[in-house]
Amino acid sequence: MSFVSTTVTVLSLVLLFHAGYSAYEFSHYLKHLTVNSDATLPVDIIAETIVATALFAFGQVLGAKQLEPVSFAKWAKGLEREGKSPFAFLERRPGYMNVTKLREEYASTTK
Amino acid sequence: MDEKERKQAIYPLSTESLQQNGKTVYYIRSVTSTIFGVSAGILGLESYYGFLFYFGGTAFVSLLMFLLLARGQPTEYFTSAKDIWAGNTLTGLSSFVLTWTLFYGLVDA
Repeated sequence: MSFVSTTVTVLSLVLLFHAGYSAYEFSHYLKHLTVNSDATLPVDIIAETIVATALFAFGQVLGAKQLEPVSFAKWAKGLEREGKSPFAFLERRPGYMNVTKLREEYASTTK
Repeated sequence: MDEKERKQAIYPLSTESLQQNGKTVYYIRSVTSTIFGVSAGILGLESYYGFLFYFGGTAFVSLLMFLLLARGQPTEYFTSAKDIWAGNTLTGLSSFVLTWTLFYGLVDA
C-alpha cells in the first residue's frame, strides 16, 4: 500500500465517520427535540457520505497490487528480467556439459 | 483440437498470474462492499434503493479497476473482459447487507 493510497483511504474513513456521526446526531435531534419529523437527511451529509465512499474505492484501487500479465510469454519475460526465469533449470544440465569447452575457457582465464 | 484448445497451446496462460489477479480483484471487491454497506446505512437507504446503491457502487469500482489497474486492456490481465466487469460481484453482497443493517440501526438514534 503506497503512501498516497493509505492517505486517501484514511481520509475517506475519517469523512465517513464524520458523516455517520452527523447523521446520528441529526436523527437524534429529529426524534427528541422536534415535533414534525418528516425532514430528510441534510444534503451536505449525503454529499459527504458519497464523496467518502468514492474516495475509499479510489484509494483501494490505487493501493492495489499491480496486475500481472496473463500471457505466459509476457509473464516469463518480466521474471527473466529479474533473473528468476521458470526455465532456469535448463541453462545448466549436467548431462549436456561440454567438458573440453569448459576446460578451454578455464585455461584462457588462468593463463 | 478445437479453436480454443489450439489457441491455449500456442499462447499459454500463466496460472500464477491469473490467481494473483483474481485475489487482488476479490480483495478490492470485498473491502469496498463493506464500505458501501456503511454508506447505505448512514444514508438510511431501504430495500430496493439499497441494492441499487450496491450494484451502482460495484459498477463504479469496476470502472475504476478497468481504468487504473487494467489500464483499458482487460484481456491482458484476465481471461476475458467479463472477468473485470462482472466477476466476483455477488460475493460482496453478504458483507454489504451485514454492514448496511448494522449501520442503519446505529445511525437511527
